[in-house]
Amino acid sequence: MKKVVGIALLVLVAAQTSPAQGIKFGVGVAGGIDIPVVQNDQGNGSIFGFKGRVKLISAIALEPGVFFTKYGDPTNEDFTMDIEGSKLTSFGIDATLGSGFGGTGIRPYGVFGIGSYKMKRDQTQQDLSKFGWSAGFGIEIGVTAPISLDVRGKLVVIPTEGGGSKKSATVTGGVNYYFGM
Amino acid sequence: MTFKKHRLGTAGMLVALALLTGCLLSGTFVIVISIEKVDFTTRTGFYYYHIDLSEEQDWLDHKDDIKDIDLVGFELWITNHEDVARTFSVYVDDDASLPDSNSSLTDVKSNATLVLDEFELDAGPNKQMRVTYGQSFKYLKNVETLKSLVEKGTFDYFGVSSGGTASGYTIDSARVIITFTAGK
Repeated sequence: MKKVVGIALLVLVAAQTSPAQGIKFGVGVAGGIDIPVVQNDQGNGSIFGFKGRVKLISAIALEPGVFFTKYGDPTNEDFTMDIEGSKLTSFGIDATLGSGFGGTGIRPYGVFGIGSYKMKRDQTQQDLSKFGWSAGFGIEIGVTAPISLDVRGKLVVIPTEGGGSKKSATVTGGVNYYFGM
Repeated sequence: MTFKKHRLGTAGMLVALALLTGCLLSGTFVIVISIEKVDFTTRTGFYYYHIDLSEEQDWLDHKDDIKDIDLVGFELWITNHEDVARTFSVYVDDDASLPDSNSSLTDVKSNATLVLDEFELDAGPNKQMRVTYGQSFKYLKNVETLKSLVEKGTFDYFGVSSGGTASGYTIDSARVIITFTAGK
């Protein structure tokens, strides 16, 4: 929770200072579904989070953000799998390639990210904290200069201790707001 | 400028697609080993079953690429035939030392590893109780030993009860549920 408050404060401070310093800055919220990929011990879940957007160069933006996933309860046709889905919290930075920064119009983009992932299921005493990565693509639709809709699909890969990985596909929709536009 | 951005976006999408298709070769799988009452070998004071994962197709498909044993849990149906409360435990062992024709309850308790500790059975007579998969995690002990035995692919399962007489209870059925991550 402290990390969330910290990131929220950073976003707020950056939003206050960015116009004066000439840094293009935006914020966004997004939510959607998180679908475990070949993970028989998790069900489909929901994801929600928020992010900042900082323009790096013309077509590349960086997005520090925090996202929360709650996987659904897994099911198995052979027995009653009465365990809950895991909770996943991620702190990371995404780089979007091709999304531009504010303005109207449709902008497809690729997205690559790295982050710290914490996956926890109290019932089975499972607790995994690892760095992982993600990649995907999306479409940003500028409704007005400062406001855009953002639809994005990503595959998230979290390495595990033995050399395997936990993977999930996320599909999110959200709204971005750009300051100083 | 817009055209350039669209080209960059398309390039980004293609690179992302290439990354995604290259890493879908691994996953987390759940296999279930069901043991019925008639499958158990009954000895004085305990039930015995030899588990061989090579009979499970998912295990055979991935056994050379197993990265982690994520979870091992149990599901049990047990009937207490007597009017005394008793406790039930599960021990496991590799298939080298136990059991032989002379194995006794004392041998099991002193040589095998306790993995499910003292689930309490209400007094009967004919009281059936169930340990669900989710509940079994509350009773698990020596999880790392259990995982290492599972990783070998074969191990022995012993159901043991304390309280009442040795023949005063029945394991009606049991399941051993194994979750593992495998990949290239």
